[in-house]
Amino acid sequence: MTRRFSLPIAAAVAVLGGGFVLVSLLMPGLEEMRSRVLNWAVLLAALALLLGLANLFQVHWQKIREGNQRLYSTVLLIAMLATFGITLWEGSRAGIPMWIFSHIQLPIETSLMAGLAASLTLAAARLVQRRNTPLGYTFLVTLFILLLGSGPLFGQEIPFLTQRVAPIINNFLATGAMRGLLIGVALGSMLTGLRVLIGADRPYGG
Amino acid sequence: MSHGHHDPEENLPDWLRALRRQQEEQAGQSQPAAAPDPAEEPDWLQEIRQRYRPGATKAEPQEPAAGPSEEEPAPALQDTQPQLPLRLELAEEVAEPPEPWLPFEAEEPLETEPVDEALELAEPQARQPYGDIQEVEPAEDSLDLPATPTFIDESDETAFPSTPAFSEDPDDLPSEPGWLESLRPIEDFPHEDARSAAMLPEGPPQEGPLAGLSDVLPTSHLVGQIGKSVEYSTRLQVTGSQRQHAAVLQELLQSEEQRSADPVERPLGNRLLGLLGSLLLIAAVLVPLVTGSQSAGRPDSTQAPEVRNIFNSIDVLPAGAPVLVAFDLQPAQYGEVAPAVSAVLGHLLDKQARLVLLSTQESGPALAERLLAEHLGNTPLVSTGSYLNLGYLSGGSAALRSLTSDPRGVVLSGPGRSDPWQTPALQSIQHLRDFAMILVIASDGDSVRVWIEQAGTQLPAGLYAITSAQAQPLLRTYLQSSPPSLRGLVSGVSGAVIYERLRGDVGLGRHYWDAYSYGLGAMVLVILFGSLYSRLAQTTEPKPAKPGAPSGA
Amino acid sequence: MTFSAEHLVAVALLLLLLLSFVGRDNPKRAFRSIPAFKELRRTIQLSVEDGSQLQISLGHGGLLGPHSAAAFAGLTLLNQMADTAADSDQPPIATGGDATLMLLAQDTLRHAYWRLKLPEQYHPHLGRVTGLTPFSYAAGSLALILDGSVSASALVGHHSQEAGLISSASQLRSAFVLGGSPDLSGQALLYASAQEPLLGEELYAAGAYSQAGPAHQASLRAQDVLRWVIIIAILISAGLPLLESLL
Repeated sequence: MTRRFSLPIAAAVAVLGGGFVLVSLLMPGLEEMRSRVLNWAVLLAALALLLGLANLFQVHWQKIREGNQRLYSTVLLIAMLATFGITLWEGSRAGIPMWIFSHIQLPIETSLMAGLAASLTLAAARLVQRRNTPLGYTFLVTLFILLLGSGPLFGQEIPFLTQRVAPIINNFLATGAMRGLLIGVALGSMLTGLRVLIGADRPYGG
Repeated sequence: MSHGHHDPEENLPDWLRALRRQQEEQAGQSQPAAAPDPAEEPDWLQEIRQRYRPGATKAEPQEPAAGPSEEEPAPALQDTQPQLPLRLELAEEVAEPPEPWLPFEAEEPLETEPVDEALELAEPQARQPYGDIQEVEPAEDSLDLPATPTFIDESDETAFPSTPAFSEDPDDLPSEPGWLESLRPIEDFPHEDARSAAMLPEGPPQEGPLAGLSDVLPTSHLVGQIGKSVEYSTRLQVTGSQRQHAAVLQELLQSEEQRSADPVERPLGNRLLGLLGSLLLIAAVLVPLVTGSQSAGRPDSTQAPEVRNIFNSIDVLPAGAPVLVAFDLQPAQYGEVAPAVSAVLGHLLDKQARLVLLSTQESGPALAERLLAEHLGNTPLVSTGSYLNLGYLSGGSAALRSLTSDPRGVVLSGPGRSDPWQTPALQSIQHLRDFAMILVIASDGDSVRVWIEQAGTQLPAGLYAITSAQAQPLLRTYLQSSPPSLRGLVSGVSGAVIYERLRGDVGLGRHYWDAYSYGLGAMVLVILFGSLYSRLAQTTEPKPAKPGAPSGA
Repeated sequence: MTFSAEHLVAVALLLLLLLSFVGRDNPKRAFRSIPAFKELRRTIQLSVEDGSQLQISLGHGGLLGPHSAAAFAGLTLLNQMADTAADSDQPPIATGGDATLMLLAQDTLRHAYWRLKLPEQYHPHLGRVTGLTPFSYAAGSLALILDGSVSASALVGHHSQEAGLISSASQLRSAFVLGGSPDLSGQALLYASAQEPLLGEELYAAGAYSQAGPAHQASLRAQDVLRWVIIIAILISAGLPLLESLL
């Protein structure tokens, strides 16, 4: 019953809100009202951030209760509560929060990035196994040329590649292909947005 | 396998014994060890023998013989054989799944045939012969099983569809002897024959009335086990969804069989490739960093006019000019972008610019503080705290839109903090265009694109960006547009090195440059040799055995 | 009169409305085959049969930006996957790097269970935030993939480089990976590391290919029409100066 009544209301709010922002972009004189509506959305997004934290907490709390990888979840929850509490107490730019950020989060994420570089190199090396197609080989050849043209290899530059071939691929082929992809993505985004605006696509309420 | 001696007739049902006695009486003598004289056999048995003589296969329909067999359709004998498995029909559907996407549709029957109520009963009942088989399974070793029937030998799937599994019309069935009719439970034979090869009949019996015939009856021990036949409709109604599920189940079984049959996927080679590749990459990056090597030649600024643009724009900034720095950087890209950021911000601080930091990423403000403290802590403006960090602006592009139209309405001063708009750096700022320069520091091109789309049109001075190298191809579009939406760009380590060179400086970029160069070389080698190895492995890899092919056991 | 972005939006809206009603029942109108969706369909069925879990990664795009469209495509796919696999032993799980996405994913799953008349089987943890920065989100998803029984990961949403980590982990577990992202570096990474990458606008076809409704199909047709219009416009704009210079 709740769903039956709430869905049209949710749809109406979504359609009206989206429609208003779209119209305000096209018609002058509605900037102030649009700014106010956008600020509401921004506030809601900020609140949702807290909900995300709560969800993360709940998921790991549940894992601890179920005895599923209790150690990791316990460490995570303790770290989360400690960081949250200290940052709330001292402010985000104080010594301890900054130390936590600089010495824990930053190295972990940077290491993940380094690991990703290695794993992608290996994925490219095994690409032939998985994508033994002309398109796969095209991908590999382009990758080679761009890597060779990115800079000196083992300290030795190959001017023909860095100054002639790589710029041609970068400036013409890659840019052209990318624009094509971006046009497709933009069209898809626009039509998805329009579907939501006219209420044909309702990610809320299923 | 040892075959014990036993009386072949001890398991025969009463009706078959009675039939045998009747034959013996007619013949006047018993010939158990030899094939019966064709002249003495009943017509129906001769007809079966004729149609099923050795050498005749299912693929070759029998020549019409004289007598009653002329009137009977050729595939009559199929009724005495196990029904062909349903999976063979389904295999075709798997090869070409029907559109639209059935699993996501309501379960509606594809066929419009009326529901055959008997089917509901038939399915559980059809499994009963199996149950019997399983019960007598331990005794199979002691039985003389006939040779594998032809329908098993002809395992070529293309031959099967000619034999319908469930489409027989009862009216089309030929008339058959009563005793054969009584064996009709085979009509309800299970769809898939899950018996192992050892359990299947091995050849025609060598004695008795069926000597020389195969597949006419199930093996003798089964005959003894099967009770009275029950007549069920063979018409099966399968919904599209059921077909899909059956096909998936079959595919699941096949893939499991195939997985177990496939050779192990060269784990050693792949592992070695991974290990060696990773070691080479780490060594190539670490060695120049540790040794402090600076042997690789630096790129020239003529190769990157976009870097020169940003340098020139900063170089002409008046002292005290307010510069908005959007620090939309992710921690993961900090290492790559830090050299370029420290070079450009160092230049700005040298020009006495008033830095106003802002971020649309949660971790941006902390990263900005870290970078200023770590790499630019010695400059007077940073050491005296003469810059302003407005913090995190939540709301993504919507917030940016608001920032563009009304900056003072968006950036809120928090409790316990003085109003940032009253500080000297922001007192004169009413709109974004009042900033002398807006510099976006971003991990990817999309963050810069959002700034261009939301704020770019209102900024006559244009935007400048410092990004990871991955963003350069995307942003090149905006650099090349007319008028350019993006005035200048420094991307990656190479951009940092070019900028440092323009400033006549040796900084973090130069320090990283050799490691970058050696890492690039190692990457090329790993990809090259890895690809060759993969190609070689692919060509030498034995092809996986066809499903259903003998495993060699 | 110059043709601006506002005109393009208006034309797209008209086309969408028009194609929602015209020719929707025409059986001849078929979309080209996208192997990724075919394979995903098969994998969903297999996962239902063998009781393994499906994971859909909605990315970290959020709803307040241009990447929300990719997130909506992911939510549509989640909706369709839930309809098929919600009542299996291991229901599908949705992960995201943005809290607003988590709320929508939970709502989508809850209503899928409601439709299937299994509301008691729904659990809010089926839609979860695994991290609030791209790489922490990926790290959280890695844990789920590496210690769970995930047989397929669909990365449909805004993913950038962190997609490489998720797809690599999935492959380590021999799980099927389908990936699509509006981010170009994300697409390049997924091409190298995922079994079935979705390139360019294919990402937005998820709804039409999973029978999510006539609006999705109309949207895809409108997209095709507009693409051709743009291609022709580009050719004309590039060809006319060339022609003028030749003449």
